[in-house]
Amino acid sequence: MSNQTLGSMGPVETAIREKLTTLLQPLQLTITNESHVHRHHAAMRAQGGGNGETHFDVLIISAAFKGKSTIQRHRMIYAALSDELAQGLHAISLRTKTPEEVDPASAASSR
Amino acid sequence: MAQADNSVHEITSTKQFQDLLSADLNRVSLINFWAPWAEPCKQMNNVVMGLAKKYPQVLVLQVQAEEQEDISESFDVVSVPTVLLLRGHTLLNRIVGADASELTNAISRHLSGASSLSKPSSSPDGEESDEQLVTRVKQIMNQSKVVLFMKGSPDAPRCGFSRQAVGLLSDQKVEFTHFDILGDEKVRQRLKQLNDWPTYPQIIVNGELVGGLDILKETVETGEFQKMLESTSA
Repeated sequence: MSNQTLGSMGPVETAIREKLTTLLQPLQLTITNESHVHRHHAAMRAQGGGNGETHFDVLIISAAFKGKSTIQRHRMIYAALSDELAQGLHAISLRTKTPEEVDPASAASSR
Repeated sequence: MAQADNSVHEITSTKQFQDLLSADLNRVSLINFWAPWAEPCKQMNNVVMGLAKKYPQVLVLQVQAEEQEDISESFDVVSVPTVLLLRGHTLLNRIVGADASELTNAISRHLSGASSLSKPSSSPDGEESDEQLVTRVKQIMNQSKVVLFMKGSPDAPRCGFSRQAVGLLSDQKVEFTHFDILGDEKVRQRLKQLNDWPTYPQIIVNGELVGGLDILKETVETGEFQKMLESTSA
């Protein structure tokens, strides 16, 4: 279920949401734009403050992560977002979980 | 070639700065960004003067960071003291904070490299083949059991994520060395390719990438990180 109205997302956030949804079919995908926190930092100042879509925090719960180590999960996401990372996207904080890791009881109830 | 006695210059304008740097593109120069109100600069200024006497072939430029804003900004200098070592226009090292030993080591490394004719690892222009670069990067990854590739140094991190990584490793009482990727653009880019990892900080254990800050936090929490440290390297 989307918890953002489409109008408030910029192009980078939209791309992150679309690509990760396609790749991971997540149970939950929460993207938080943290760019304003980093706006004044030296690297961002050099870019003129960035475009307001430079730093994101991403929480994903997906069965696609099952059997994968954390570093493998992060690599999947980095690979999907390589275009964005090559451009204005400066940093992403990642939290990746499978449904079972979030709620062990769900493992018993899911088929 | 005889150098003028006056190899130390107080910079008063951007033009003067550019003219001095461009005069000899093979020359190593030391740019000391300082401010009269900053106590640590006093110590660093003394160190710089000592090095200027010891190495008269080095062009030493004293820049009051707040007065020469354009120069400070163009080199992304945000704190004082900051000392940059350049060869021509190529940035060799960035030392942030009054780290006398880091500066002294860095300058002697670069000067001995330039004067040694038999050293195959790099030409005086600082050209390095990709193979040599990869060898160098791998050496750095293995320079200690835990290596943190970060922005800045543990005493002066230049990024919140790097600062957190330093804090976490210190809290866990982990012994580590660091590499400041802001001072070496070639390593910065090549390591991203080698490790297939697009961001910094990068935490390396036993010569291999463990991950970034998020993974470090997770593996410390689960105890996995301590296990990694206990296992012996090959």
